[in-house]
Amino acid sequence: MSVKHTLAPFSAWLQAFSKPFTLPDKHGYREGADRYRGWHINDTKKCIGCGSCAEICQNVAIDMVPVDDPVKGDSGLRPRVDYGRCCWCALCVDVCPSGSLGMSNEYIWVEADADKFRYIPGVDPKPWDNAEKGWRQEEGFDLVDHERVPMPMLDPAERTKTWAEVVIGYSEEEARQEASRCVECGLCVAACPAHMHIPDYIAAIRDGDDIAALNIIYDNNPMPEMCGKVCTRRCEGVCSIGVQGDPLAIRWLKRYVTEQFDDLKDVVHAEVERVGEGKKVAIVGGGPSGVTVAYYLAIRGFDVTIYEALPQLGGATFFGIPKYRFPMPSLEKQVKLLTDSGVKIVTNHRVEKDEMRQLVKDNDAVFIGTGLMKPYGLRAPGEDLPGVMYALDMLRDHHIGKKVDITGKVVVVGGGNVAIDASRVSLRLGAEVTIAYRRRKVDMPADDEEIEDAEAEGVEIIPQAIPLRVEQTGDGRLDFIWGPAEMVQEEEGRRPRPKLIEGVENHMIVDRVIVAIGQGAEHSWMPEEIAEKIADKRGWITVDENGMTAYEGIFAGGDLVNSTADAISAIADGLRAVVGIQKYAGVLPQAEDEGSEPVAIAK
Amino acid sequence: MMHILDEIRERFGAEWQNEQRPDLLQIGVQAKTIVPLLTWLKAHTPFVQLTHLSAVDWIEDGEFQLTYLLTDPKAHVSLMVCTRIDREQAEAESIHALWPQAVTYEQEINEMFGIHFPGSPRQGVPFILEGWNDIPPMRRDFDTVAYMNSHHPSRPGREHTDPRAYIGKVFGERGYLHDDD
Repeated sequence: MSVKHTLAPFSAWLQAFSKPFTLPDKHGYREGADRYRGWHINDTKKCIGCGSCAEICQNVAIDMVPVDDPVKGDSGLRPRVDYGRCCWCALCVDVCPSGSLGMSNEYIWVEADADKFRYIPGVDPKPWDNAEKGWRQEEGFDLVDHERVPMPMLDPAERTKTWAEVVIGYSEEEARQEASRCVECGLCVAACPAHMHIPDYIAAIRDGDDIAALNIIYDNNPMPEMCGKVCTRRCEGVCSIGVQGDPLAIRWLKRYVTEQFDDLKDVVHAEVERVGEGKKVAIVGGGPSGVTVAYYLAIRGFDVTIYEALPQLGGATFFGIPKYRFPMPSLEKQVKLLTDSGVKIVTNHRVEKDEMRQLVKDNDAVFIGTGLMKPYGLRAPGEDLPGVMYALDMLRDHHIGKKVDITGKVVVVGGGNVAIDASRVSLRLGAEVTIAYRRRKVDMPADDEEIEDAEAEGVEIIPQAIPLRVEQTGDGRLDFIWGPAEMVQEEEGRRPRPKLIEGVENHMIVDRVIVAIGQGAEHSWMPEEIAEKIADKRGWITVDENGMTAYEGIFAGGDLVNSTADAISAIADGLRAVVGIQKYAGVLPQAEDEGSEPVAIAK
Repeated sequence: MMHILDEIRERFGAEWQNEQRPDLLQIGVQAKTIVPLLTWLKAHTPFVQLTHLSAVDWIEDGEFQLTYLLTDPKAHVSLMVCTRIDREQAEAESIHALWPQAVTYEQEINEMFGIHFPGSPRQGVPFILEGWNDIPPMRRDFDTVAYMNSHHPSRPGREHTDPRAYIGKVFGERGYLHDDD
């Protein structure tokens, strides 16, 4: 050891009293520039956990971590930034579909431990959480495409002259372009009742592989052309791109794919073990839930028969939805895949009590998906007068080819999709149509686009109109008498209720009154011993997590069972019963017995 | 200022021209025109200063774009002279004889994009990358994320939940067309 080394500790101490080499910071703290890219901030209420920030980060500096339970429209995940990797490029901020992520202009943070430089902005409190300055997304420079490729449609003036489909459909180029807007976050999967693999088929469309897209779609939806045209599309309501722009046209993309193939038999490839060989299943009601059960059981080897009272399968999508939205060839194509897969279809056949008893005896399982066929009454005097009719009956008669007596001036009472469909069909039959709805226009349960389309075609909508009575006029017409309503907020958080303003009567002289205020269950065909066991007083049927009713071996789904009463929820019910029936029949492959955890739905 | 673009077009030919802002003009020319055009601009017009030289990878077109930004220092007006070169034969004439500082730009572009400027003094000499053994990192077919993952292991404690997969799992997404779904 040298003398130098021996003296080193002492000479170091001597340095403590000498003038430092470093200069003191004369300026003290200096604020970062107004648009400085400093430590991240995140408005976690606005953030939906789509993960686009993590996806775009070229330094792999961002993890998505669970901070809350996932719900529809929010994955419950939030980004956590690792500053050992972040290069402050701000791509994460610029891509953020919700616009929640930003960067403060704060740049000083001192820690002894390098591993501490990692936090969840907006969740782990930081001094700069409320920084007003710093980098923010700027309009016009965001990295997601906010504008939907417009859907070509028939001119409103042309539409009412024909029954031609109003929506024309995307071209290949338009579909690929629209698909490329998707960030593949999967929020839509949570919102879809059937949990369709939406980002996956959109990616396949973007990549130009329509066959793959079709197979991904058929993986859990046997009526996708119907859904591609008329779905209530809850998926689009939660689309992350929709937070600041137009949501992806998920419905139109599905429509595009299904329209590319005329015959599905050689395109859709089922690769399932035929575990159901020798097992028999009867399905009462050929709507979307019944079709779903039939298709996925038939490809598994089950001997499946559908009994349908009307001349065609499809349920409400056949007899309720007008052909300018969902044309017959689209429906027939999907039905053909059923018959091609071995499903036996008995149409024009209403199952009655004794036959139902026999079906229960002869089959390993019976599925009921008979829907809601009994229209609710107007609950106002005069509803029995000639010229007052139910939308459901009118639409059904029209669609099975019976002559429908619509003429002159028509008032449609109601605000749902059935009311809109009845209005637009009446228009096409040559009538002049007004809708009377008891709540505000924003409260109408009908699809916004449908309402817009109806108005564009010339339907007049009178909101806050409560029917009082219908009277016959001297010249054989009808006097539809209604009172105005005011909206009253009775309970916080619930939608306001319409309250009649007493003493005011408005008269509308019309030729027809079409009632479209909802529909209920009708079980007169069902043996009492079954109906008593499975249905409540109002006719709703409750099922367990396997889709089975309280009557062993009888499963149910569709509008009878779920509270949403749309086609995609019916398909979801059908999917649940597909697993339930296999389980009940003791043929569910072990691997499939895991995974899904459906929840019993009580109406 | 537009007259300068007209004159360039007349003397050297131009593929396109544009006045992006009153103080920023753009013109697109063929690559073989670059040296004569820049020589003429420096000698006979107020655009005497080379402010920047940059490249863009138009991978879909199989081309690189080179942009020479010249400035009129008195009038504070800039002129972007743009040209496209083949991406496979990525080579362009050096302008270091006109502006010595071009050597540094050409060295950087050579390193970041792999575009070669024959005759330029520091071609192939590392600029900011040390011991780089991958394709040039500013080429768009360079996979930054894969490079990061293979060269820079994460610190302990990192865990990422993919939203798409997570949602599918939590909400019971499943398929019915294949047994292995």
